[in-house]
Amino acid sequence: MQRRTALKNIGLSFGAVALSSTVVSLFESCQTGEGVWTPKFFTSQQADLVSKIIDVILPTTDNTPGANDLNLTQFMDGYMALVSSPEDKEFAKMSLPIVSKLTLEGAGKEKFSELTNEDIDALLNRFLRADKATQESRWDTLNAWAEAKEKGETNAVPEKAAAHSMINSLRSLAVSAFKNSEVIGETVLAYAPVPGEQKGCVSIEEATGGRAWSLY
Amino acid sequence: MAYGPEFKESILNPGGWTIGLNGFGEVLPYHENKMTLDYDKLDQWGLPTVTFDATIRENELNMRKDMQIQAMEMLDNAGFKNISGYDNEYHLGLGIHEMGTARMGRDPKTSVLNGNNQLHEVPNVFVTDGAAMTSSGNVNPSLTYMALTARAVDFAVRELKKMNL
Ligand SMILES: Cc1cc2nc3c(=O)[nH]c(=O)nc-3n(C[C@H](O)[C@H](O)[C@H](O)COP(=O)(O)OP(=O)(O)OC[C@H]3O[C@@H](n4cnc5c(N)ncnc54)[C@H](O)[C@@H]3O)c2cc1C
Repeated sequence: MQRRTALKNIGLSFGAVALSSTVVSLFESCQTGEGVWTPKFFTSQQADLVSKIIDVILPTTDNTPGANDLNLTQFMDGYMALVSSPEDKEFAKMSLPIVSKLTLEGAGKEKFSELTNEDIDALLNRFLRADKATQESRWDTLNAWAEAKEKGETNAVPEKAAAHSMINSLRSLAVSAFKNSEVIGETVLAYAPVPGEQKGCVSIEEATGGRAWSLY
Repeated sequence: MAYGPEFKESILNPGGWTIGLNGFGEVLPYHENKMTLDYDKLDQWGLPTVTFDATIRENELNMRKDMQIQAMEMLDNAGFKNISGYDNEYHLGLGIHEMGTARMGRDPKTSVLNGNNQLHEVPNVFVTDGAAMTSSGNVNPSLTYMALTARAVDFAVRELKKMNL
């Protein structure tokens, strides 16, 4: 636990959306989103890439909407612009271009518009499904870099480690936004905003139709 | 998983769950447990600093073993599965039930306060907080401090009226 303390200070904490009035109005503005919006935090290329990434992480399926059906890129952009801490912003500003670069390199392409779902899948596979040892060593590398940075040393950013952390954070933020969105929170998850009864012994199927609780 | 359709499905369903059961045991009033003033190490106002010298001993350590066994048995009897015990080392203070250091007792040789939270040695000084209770029970102490305080104050007022203080 103590080992990677420096990581906390460079903005790896974003991911879990805490509900505040800003967050609520962000959700509201995404619902009315007309498809055309101007990103505030991401560059338009980054917004495009983020939307491709979260579409593969949380795709539309037969019975539930996906990240882009809910305009989560717009939400995430607003969240980064208005809610995230200065450290989170700094880390994202540094790491998003690296993610972009590694995505294009990995796909052997020059343009973002040429990126396919398969390219994104290959990217996510390399990072989110990396074996445990690789993931551990990336965290260590990033922590060593962050520690050095705290001491005032300016070393080259370990690119894979930074990208890995950024992609992880994008996933966490997308998941959190997804579960907190009105559609998922009220119509997919088990929703009881004012819980009024306690039943001590009931099957999950009976209690929630097998779903997790919303608003936990 | 990590991402994709199955991942999406999994985050909408309840995951694994666990529950924990903690034991809270009594700390006995050993004479060896004590607090002293260190006149060699003064604070910024020139006052002596406090040194606590206290630890849990054989009885508490055995109680911890027993609590673990009892807890596991209770869970087992209640039908829980995959039960595992644990003993994270304990140091006095972790329980944050601050008490002790001015023992209540009948004998001035072995205690600081008498039964009315009054100093054996100095009758017009009362110590009405958690200090009187050197045995830290397994339940919350504050209501007992309050009860002891109310009783001590009642006694003090009566003594004052009788001009005994
Ligand atoms: C987080 C927490 C949760 C707790 N929860 C519970 C609970 O749910 N139920 C329960 O029964 N108990 C609970 N306790 C325990 C209980 O609060 C304490 O045991 C109790 O407050 C101790 O009372 P006290 O009067 O002896 O000492 P304290 O409340 O610690 O009072 C000592 C006072 O002396 C003052 N002081 C110190 N040095 C000097 C000085 N040199 N000059 C002048 N003043 C000085 C301090 O500022 C302080 O006000 C909890 C304790 C903590 C820390």
